[in-house]
Amino acid sequence: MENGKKTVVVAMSGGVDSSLTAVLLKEQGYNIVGITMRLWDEEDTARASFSDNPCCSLEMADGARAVCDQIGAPHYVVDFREFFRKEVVDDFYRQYLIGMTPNPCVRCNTFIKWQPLVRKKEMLGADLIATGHYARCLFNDAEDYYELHRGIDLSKDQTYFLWGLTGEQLKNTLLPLGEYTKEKVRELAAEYDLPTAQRPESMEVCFIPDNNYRNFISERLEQDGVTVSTGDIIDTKGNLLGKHKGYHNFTIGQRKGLGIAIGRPAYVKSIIPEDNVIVVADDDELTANHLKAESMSWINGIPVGGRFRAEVKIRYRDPGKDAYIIPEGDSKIRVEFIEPVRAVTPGQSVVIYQGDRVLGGGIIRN
Amino acid sequence: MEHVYLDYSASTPVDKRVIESMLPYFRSKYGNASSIHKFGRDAKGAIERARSYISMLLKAAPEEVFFTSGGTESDNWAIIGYALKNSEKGKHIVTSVIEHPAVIKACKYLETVGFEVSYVDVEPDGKLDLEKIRNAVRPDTILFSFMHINNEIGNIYPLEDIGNIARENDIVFHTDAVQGFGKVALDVNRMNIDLLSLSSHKIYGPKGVGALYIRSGIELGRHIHGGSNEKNMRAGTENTPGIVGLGTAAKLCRSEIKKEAETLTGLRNYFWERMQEDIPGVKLNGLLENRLPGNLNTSIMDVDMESVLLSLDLHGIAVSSGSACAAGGVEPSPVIKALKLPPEYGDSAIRWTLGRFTSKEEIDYTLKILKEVVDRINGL
Repeated sequence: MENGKKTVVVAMSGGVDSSLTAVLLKEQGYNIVGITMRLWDEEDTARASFSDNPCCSLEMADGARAVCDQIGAPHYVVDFREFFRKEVVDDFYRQYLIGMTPNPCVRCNTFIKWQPLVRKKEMLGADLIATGHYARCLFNDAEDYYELHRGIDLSKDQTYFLWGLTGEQLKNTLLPLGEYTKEKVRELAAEYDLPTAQRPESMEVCFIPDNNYRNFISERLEQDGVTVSTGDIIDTKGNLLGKHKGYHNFTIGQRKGLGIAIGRPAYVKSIIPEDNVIVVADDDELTANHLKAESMSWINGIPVGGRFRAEVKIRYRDPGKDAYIIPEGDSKIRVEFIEPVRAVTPGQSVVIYQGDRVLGGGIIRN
Repeated sequence: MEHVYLDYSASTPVDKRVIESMLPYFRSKYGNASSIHKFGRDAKGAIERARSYISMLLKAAPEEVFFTSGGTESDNWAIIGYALKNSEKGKHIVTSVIEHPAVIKACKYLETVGFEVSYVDVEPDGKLDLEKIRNAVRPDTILFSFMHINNEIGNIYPLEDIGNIARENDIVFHTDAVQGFGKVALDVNRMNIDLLSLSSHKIYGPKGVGALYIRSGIELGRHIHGGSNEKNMRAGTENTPGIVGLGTAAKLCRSEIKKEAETLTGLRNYFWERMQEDIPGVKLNGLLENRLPGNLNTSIMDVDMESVLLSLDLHGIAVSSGSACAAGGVEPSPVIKALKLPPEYGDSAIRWTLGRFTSKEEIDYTLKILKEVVDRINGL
């Protein structure tokens, strides 16, 4: 690999996006090293598979290997299972127990994938890392730092998951797909005849079978010997409406499966783990004018000058809302919405944008 | 230097002389060995010659050698075939924790059909304690399975002593000799071996062929049902070119075994001495004496060997670490785990295996790159 070209470690899931990332960078003249991160597996499965989910299955690793073979690049599977279990899966469980609705993909992408990947890159003596995220990493000449911007395909933009990155990390990161639409990516993948071109997209949380997080939490509770007691479902005035079988079965804004009939649609407004109580409300009672967030991370440092106006997203599919951001110390903010918003969900991320640029984000507390 | 191959225990390049000997059986002597005509007789004759070359290396009779598709099939046939055929004599098997998966998994299968298996532990230097083997023996023990040479740390196990314990207790003795056959002398009679698995692609022969030695008088169940090939025991048209290749490879080993062992031991010891000088914190796993001539297995204090392995690969140097996982990842090796290394070495190790075509220049180049890689990782 000592041919004067820069070497890029490409995180390859075996899906079409990261496969094309490797191919595009190869075309641009980089040396490519493909890495598939082994994150999760079901124990005691007889067949040699990472899990039933396509995201990290054996077939997916084989797909990544086939792509690397096609472009003449080495490919390795590295074992990040212990790290993933501790940092993502256990955290997901703990968050639910304190009444939060966590987003494990945010945690995985920003806190888990980058660190060990960067470390691996350094161990291998490579220069850069690359992923198949729909996001752009742009250099700001005036400020002399790297900024994170939305991908040009706004319907696929994945910056919501990447707010925890830093300018320093972005300096060594390539995100080539940010310049493409998903449609173009599929087209190019077919053009390059990539074996992974037709792979269906995974929309699930990789460690939760069938996307059924309730079963997942229940099984973990059982393993830990925690008995789940029934609790009250009340309205905002404290009236008892019914009983529930464990507060972990609910998320903020949930309407279906509440198990109560009050003659009009009711939504989960809040979860009170200490009292094992679920509070439901009418749709109009679900709105909020502000939120508070913690664990803030700023990509290029905290903006100076206090209160500022920005656009925020409070969930992945959120089209965005105008708001004032009021920093409270280094790691907390208060967000004041111009228009009231619905279902602010503790545990989810709030991500702050100015135009297409991501300034940072944090975890919603209330 | 573009490529350095130091993974001879995983597989070997096929010796040119082996390839030459195989070619006629693709081109002109392609008959079915069961046919009566000249094409068939040519094939049959070649197969029998190969059988005798193998038997000579084992000090066995040719008719005690049965061809298979490789070491894994031989292990499965020996263990499962013997146990199922002789279950009325007893249902207990003794083996060790560091056997090849082909042995371990065959035993695990037998546990699901009513057999009991004792897995003898190894000592921290990788040795087997004969007393532990003796203590594992029960009145209903029918089979021993102990490897000849460990595939990872290269320890040569005392088959003669283990064979004696087997004989004293009227227990049939199987050995997986895949790593040692053709490299370290074997004698099935002196060692009291009843069943022995061997493979072609570890001794410069082609992949997909191996053999099982079955002492005459030992009864195994019919392994593959069908035609009358391999004395009615393993049906299926013989892989003539493969078998011829294995035969030639065995013949070459027989004439070169001593010289090759001396050369490889010298080169391996040079490698290890230089490594100790160049790489701080390097540790040898297993003992240097009584070790497969071309084998080294090392760990480095506070260095993740997976990253070393990948970095070496990026420089064209092929080595192995642990057992290769199906998807191309690295699994912590059960053998290295059994050695209970101090925590600062983790569970990670690199196996370096030298072979017939390894040169001193390649070793020097490897040492140079290894030093660069380890210095870089230590500097992070």
